[in-house]
Amino acid sequence: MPVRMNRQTKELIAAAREMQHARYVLRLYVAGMTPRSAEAIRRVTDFCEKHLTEQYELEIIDIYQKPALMRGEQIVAVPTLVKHLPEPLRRLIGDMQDEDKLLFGMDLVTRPK
Amino acid sequence: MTAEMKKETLRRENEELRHRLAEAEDALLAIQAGQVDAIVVDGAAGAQIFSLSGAETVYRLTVETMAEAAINVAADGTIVFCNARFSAFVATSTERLLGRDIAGFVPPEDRDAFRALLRRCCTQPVKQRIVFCGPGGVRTPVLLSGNALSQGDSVSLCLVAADLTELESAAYQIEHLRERHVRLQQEIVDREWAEETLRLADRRKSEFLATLAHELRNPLAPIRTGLDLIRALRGDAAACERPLQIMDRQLTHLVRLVDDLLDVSRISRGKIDLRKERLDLAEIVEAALEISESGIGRDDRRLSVSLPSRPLPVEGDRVRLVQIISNLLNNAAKFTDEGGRIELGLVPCGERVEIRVSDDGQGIPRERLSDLFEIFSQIDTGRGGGLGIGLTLVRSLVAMHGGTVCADSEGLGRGATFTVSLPLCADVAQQPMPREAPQADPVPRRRVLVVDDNPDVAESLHLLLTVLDAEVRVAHDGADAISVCAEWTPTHILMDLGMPGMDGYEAARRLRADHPDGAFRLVAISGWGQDEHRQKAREAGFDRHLIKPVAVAELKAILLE
Repeated sequence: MPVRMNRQTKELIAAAREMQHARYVLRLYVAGMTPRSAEAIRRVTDFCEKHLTEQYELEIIDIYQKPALMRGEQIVAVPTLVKHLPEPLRRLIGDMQDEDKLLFGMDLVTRPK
Repeated sequence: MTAEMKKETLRRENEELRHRLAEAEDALLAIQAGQVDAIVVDGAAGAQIFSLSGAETVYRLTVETMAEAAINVAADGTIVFCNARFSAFVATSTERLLGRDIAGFVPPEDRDAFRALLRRCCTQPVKQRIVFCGPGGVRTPVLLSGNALSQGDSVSLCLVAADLTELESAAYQIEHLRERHVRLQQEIVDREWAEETLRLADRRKSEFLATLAHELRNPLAPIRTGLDLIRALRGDAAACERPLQIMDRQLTHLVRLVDDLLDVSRISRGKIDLRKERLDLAEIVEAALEISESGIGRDDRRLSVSLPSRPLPVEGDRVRLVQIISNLLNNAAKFTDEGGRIELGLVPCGERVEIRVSDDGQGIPRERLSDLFEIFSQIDTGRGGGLGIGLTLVRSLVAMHGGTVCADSEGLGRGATFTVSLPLCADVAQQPMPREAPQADPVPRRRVLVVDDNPDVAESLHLLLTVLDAEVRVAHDGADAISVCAEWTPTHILMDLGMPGMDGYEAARRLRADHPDGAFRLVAISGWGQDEHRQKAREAGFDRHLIKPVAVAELKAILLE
């Protein structure tokens, strides 16, 4: 299933490809500064620092403030973490509390059958 | 493509599909578990965000829409947050409230206590009525609840204030209504009392009317009988003497009853004027003894009178003082049995004098002493007759003379004493008592015009005056009288006041106008004897004013003038 990307996402991926160390390009979409948002941001940041040290680019996007950035991302609910790179594109929805789910979702471990 | 490669491709596609399926499942689970803040729906108009009412939104809405004021202040009273309600309480917009000292919004005189309240609030919850104020004299009484909020090592205070304006206004209304209720209850009690008083007065009045009918009929009966008797006797003068005496006495009694009635009515309407002069009380006693009812005259051995040798000057109306004493004497006689004794005494007591009338008669039950002087009150209506207004008259007349009257009795069968106390005055101007004209005096020839619309009254006066050797003409109204005087010159005109057509006042004015130098005496003879009528008659030109019925002695005195 082809992914329709907007221009900014394409630019981001292109930029990341140029930066050799940035193997992982992630976007976390949240809705306002709710406690859940804050928690999700903290969890994702911790996760990245722990498992993807210095290999990632993370953007936090408030869909209320920047609704345009959602376009083409097939976001159905927030918080949603989107892994643009490495391919394949992956989405993870929820409060990001479950570290195992993050590992599976980011393709860092194989999902149990 | 080898079979091996085809297999690997299929395996990868299979894994990718599984992964996407898991992702979709995870998304659904996260939504179901409430782990999301918003749902995003892609539509023709772009993405729409449906917020799932995050906790913060709910709290903020709650705080903004609640009926109470919510304020968050730092420990020093600086306003960190407040809702629109507080802004309304102090009539100041929110932008001008944040960062200000909240103590600036309580009245100056309350500020110290308010700061103490905030200090206390740092350690324990508080709840107290205070008043918030704002520009323009805005005042809002509130019930303030406060709790301390710990945020790290700093403390802020969460204050909630409920508006008491309506409550206090309701409490005021309740208090107002309660007072009104109490007043109304008092009014009900007062009115019930007044109603009871009226009922009692009404009952007494009814009893009085029954007694009145009885009392008026009593003297009328012997008068009726006497008339029939005289008619039957056909001019036997000697035999007529006895019924004439009876009729005379009964008529006197009847006149006295009517006089008393009129007096009571006048006193109760405040229409009696005293003609005050300085008098010796001993003279008054003499006069009273003279007019008191037959049976207790001075010579009657039932009565003993003790008068001091020195004069006892009082200031008063001669007629009324006589009336007081004679009423007391009549009252004593009425309640004293045959052979009983009545004592009348004058006792000087410092600057006052007491008139004491005692008897050894029927006496008065102790419980009746208090209302003895009330109008229409009679202890025993079957006893001695009377209207029960004599003592009421006494009390009113005594009071008009600045005196008091009281009754005392040892009880039933043990007699009674009535004591009138009057103030004495310095000296007495000696005035001879007016004497009735002796009946034997000769009457010079007079021409008398009698004017009365009642033919019987006119006729009887005509006859009587003729007997008194006067030349008499009769007219039946004012106009009639004027036309008689146009051709005939009377020496006296005896005229009724209330007549149909031209009344007595008008006729008197016309007669005076028609005959400015007329030498006639104009005498009003009327049933109306109040001061206002006398005054009106004088103004109309009358020389004298006689009250019906007119005794023959009065007529003679008039003719002698």
